[in-house]
Amino acid sequence: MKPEGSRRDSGESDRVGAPPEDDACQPDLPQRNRGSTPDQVRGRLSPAPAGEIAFSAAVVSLHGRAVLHDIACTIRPGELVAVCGPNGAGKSTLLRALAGLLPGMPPRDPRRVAYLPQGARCAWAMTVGEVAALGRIPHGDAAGTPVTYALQSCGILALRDRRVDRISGGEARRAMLARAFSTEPDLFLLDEPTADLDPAAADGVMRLLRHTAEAGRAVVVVQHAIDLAIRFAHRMIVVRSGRITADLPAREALPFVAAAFGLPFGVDPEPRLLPPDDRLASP
Amino acid sequence: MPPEALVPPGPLPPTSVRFAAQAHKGRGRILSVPVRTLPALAVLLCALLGASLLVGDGILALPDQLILLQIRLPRTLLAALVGGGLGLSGAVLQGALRNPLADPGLLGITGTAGLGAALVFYWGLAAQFAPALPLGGLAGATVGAVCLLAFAGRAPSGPSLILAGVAVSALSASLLALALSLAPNPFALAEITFWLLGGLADRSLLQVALAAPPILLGVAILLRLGPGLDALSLGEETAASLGVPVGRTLCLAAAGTALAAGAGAAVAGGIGFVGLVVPHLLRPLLGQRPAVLLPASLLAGASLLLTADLLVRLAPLVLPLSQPLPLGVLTALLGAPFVVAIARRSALP
Repeated sequence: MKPEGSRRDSGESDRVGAPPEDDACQPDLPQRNRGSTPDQVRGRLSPAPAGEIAFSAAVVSLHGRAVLHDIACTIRPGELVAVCGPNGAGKSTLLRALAGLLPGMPPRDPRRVAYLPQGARCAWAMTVGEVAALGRIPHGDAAGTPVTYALQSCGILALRDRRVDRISGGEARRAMLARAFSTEPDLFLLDEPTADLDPAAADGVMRLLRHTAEAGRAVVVVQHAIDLAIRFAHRMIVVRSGRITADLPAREALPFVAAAFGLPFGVDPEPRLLPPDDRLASP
Repeated sequence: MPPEALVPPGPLPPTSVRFAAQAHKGRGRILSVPVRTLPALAVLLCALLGASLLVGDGILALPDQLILLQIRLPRTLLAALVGGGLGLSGAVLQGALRNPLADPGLLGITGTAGLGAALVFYWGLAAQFAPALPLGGLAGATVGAVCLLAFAGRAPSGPSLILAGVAVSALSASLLALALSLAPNPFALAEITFWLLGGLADRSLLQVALAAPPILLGVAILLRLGPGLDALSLGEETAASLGVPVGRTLCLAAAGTALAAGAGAAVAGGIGFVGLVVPHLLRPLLGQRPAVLLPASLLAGASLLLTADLLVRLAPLVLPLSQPLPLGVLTALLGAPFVVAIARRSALP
């Protein structure tokens, strides 16, 4: 864990590198973070309506190394939450903690939580339909309807009988996503579900997740594509060096994300690919 | 696939992310075992059982009742039991360890069973007390299974189980080499070596009675692991998130293998490659989902070993052999090229 001063230093270096118009947006990161975030989360915890998932821990250690510190977050139904931050910041560990998969944690009801790890793959060359049907294991049934819905939602119903080793990497990734959907959980925990996808497909998956959240489920996505996270997520949790440095509506989180990566931010005047439809993300 | 296929552009109507009603009834076709292959395998197994009872040294005829009951029946039953146990163990281990090259010998249980039998020869117990040989093999398999589970730890993962198996294999192989080098006389040495080649000739109904309960218990344990193995194909962490107790599943896979394959090795010696080959023969027919392969591997393993044993009996008609071909030698001769083919195919992109 870096000392407090080094974090402020990196914040200042952001300011130096950033275009002048961003200067006003740059918050005083450490103060705001320390003052607001934990209280904010505890305040949310106290009413605790049904369906909320809360996780808090002073320290989460793995293999003798403290990975997360002073973590407290709550996931509510109807909400798409993006977890952003640098490599090794503890995003995946936070997701595992929410899934109840860390050593010593009580397991969650597998029928209500679907967890998709980073780089998920299937050891055997099953068909896409078989992979999606693995999501029914917690229910102990072989119901075809949710599997078909899941394949349809992920846009791979036509690939149902194809083997996962004979389709593209992006299609295989969507088969894994369909596995999570066929469980019909209340909480989706997805670690980089758009990692292998082309921009249009990644956009489509985030759109699907947004709709899933709006249909009353809770969705948590670890996302490195910051533009996708800001456009589609309701809320953004920024993790840096094992601490939550921001837990804000996605539109307001950009300065904290920039500070976490040590990158400047601003308006890009260069021509670039535009999202197919931006109506969703407008407030 | 065009990008529009993923989700239509623009906001979707809320119904596009639909969740079916909570209670789903009936079995869909996705998780159900393909229906035609299993009956076909069962018919094949019955035909081979009949053939094994009727075929003597190349003569297809109804034999004398004494020969049928005392010689061919134990041989046939053991071939089916041992082969089924080996085939099922191979399918379970390949699924549990997510490794297409896993087989019952990998965990070292068959090695310790062989060691137990070798020690019986070493002390000359088999001559004084006939059931000493299978009992020694069973004791070896039990010790091997206990060592394996102790080495692998309370909540083993796939790699820790493989490493524990390699350790048990190496231990039993070195102790076997010690027993061979210290063999009291050349006859004991020859007996040990010949027994290790594997075979089903001259087995009695007593040996069937000794081997059948542990094999059947192991088969019962292994057949129940299907959903857990399916979940494990997504990795141990995802399997845990699907509610599968990963450590317990791996322990049961190891214990079931110890019973099913270890008891088989205790009565039939070292018969290799059946457990490795059978799941690979079935995957083109049934797909690669581990749970689908389990019952089929049981039937196909029994059929394969019955076929190999029939070949052993028929070989003297074709080949000028002074001695019958050892069964383990035949399965290895047929299996080794097959393993090379698997390795080469899986190495290709």
